[in-house]
Amino acid sequence: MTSHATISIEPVGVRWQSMLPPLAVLALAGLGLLSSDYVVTVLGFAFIYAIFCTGLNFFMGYTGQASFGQSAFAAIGGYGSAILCADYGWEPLLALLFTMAISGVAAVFVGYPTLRLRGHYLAMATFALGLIVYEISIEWTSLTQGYMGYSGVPPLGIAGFDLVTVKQQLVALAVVALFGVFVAARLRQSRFGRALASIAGSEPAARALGVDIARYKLIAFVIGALYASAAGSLFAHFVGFISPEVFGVTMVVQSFAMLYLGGIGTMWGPTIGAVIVSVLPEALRGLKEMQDIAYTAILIFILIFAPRGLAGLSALFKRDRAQTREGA
Amino acid sequence: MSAESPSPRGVPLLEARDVSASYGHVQALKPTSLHIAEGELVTILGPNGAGKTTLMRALTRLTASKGSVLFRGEDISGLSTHKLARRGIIMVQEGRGLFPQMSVRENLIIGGYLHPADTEEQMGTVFDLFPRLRERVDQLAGSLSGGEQQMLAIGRALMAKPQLLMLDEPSLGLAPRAAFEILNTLRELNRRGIGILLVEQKAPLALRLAQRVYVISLGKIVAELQTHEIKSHHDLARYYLH
Repeated sequence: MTSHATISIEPVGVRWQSMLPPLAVLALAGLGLLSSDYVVTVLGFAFIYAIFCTGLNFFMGYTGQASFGQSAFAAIGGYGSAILCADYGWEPLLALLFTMAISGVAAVFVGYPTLRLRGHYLAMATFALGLIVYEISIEWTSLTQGYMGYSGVPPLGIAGFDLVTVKQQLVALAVVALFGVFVAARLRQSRFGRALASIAGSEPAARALGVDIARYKLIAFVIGALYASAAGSLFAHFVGFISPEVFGVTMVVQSFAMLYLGGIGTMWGPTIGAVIVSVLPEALRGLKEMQDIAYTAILIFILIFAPRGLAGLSALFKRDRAQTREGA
Repeated sequence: MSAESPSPRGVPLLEARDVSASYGHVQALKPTSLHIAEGELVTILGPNGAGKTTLMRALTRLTASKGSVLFRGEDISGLSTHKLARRGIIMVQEGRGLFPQMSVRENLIIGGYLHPADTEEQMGTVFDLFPRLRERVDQLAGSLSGGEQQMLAIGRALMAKPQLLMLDEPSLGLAPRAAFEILNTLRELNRRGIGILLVEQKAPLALRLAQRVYVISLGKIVAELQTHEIKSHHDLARYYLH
């Protein structure tokens, strides 16, 4: 199941257009500071999902593979941070980094055998991974407290400086989300990123050009796991509570919607998709019983008219302009 | 771009010994042996379904195979495709295997994956060989004509600095003029010292280039001929009808 990602290597230019998405993220965060805690919470979730989807985009968009199991690593991050901070008094930032490392190691162990599979088989194997971790989070009650969930997770902070208000946390989440996109963009422009793009384009061709497919797939999977773990940890610290449902199938469906709506394989697509999918239902809340219908109709409308996602629209406009110039 | 560390005298650039490959229970390639000397251009001819592509894929480990393959006398049978590429064995696959959603430049940059420091220099060499690619450098590979796509596929392979270039039906689907151009370029590359193993169905074109020909039929090599020994195409036809 090769994704239909836009695998062209976008230049990370410093043209004014490339500054729009980060400015939009900062503007959203700024808007949040002037809004109610409810709006702040919605935007906070959007930024957390943006981090998660940026990682997922690495594996699905840049590398053209399918993974339904990234929620497993978010669960490791979330529960890891919750347990380490609430029960053992770890610094939240330290716990976040430690659980990222644990998730990375877990991704290597899981990915090494799993990534030998391709297409639908890989999709099913990763889906099973997500389900297994979900079941563990329910059944291993002595560790996770099962359906009861884990409460008392402290807010993000370091060395006694805690982000106690949700608005402070929102700013931190926006900065982390931007940093996540920046790192992803830099990696994508590197030799490593080009290798991933070649894998997404054609595995046999990439192999024939000297790209070690197995190694790079594994690295992309691990990077996705690191992002997912960070997102899980941030969720735990932002909400102060986690339960198994957070990391269930809904998370997988939600993140896929964000990825495809925003533009899989593009730099800003995951962030755009995360914001739209998180904010839109809230914006439509006034429609009451028509809310779900309107929400779904808008998503379908976007996917029909922007099949490469909203971030792909800019490429479409650029091509149209280029064709117009050529025609002139 | 050419071979940098030639084989010791008398040692072939590539030697395959009893290489065979199967798809399930069907043996598509019976134990086959061949060799390519340093700087030689060798063609594998044969009808459809004879096993030409399977032989290429077996040699480059894109298909699981048995038997042994030696590169400059060193056994490379156990190496995977990407490791062969690192040794300088680069294959241009049938269908070209381009990245259609990437530009010409991006395809070439990925071609230079193994030699990132030399990307600009190699790209210049490719553009000198195929000036049309320079004109199309920002165009999407998928929007190029068939001939231009083949140029790009070969150009991308050259970015990897091959010592042995293996091409599977580079003239497939091309107009005669474009096919002629492509094959002429291969002759030029061979003059620069790159060993070439060419799978081709268009015998007249291939015979103009190659120094030596293997004829493959029903999954096995049925003849090995020096090109000058072939007086007419009737000489080949009997092998095709083998």
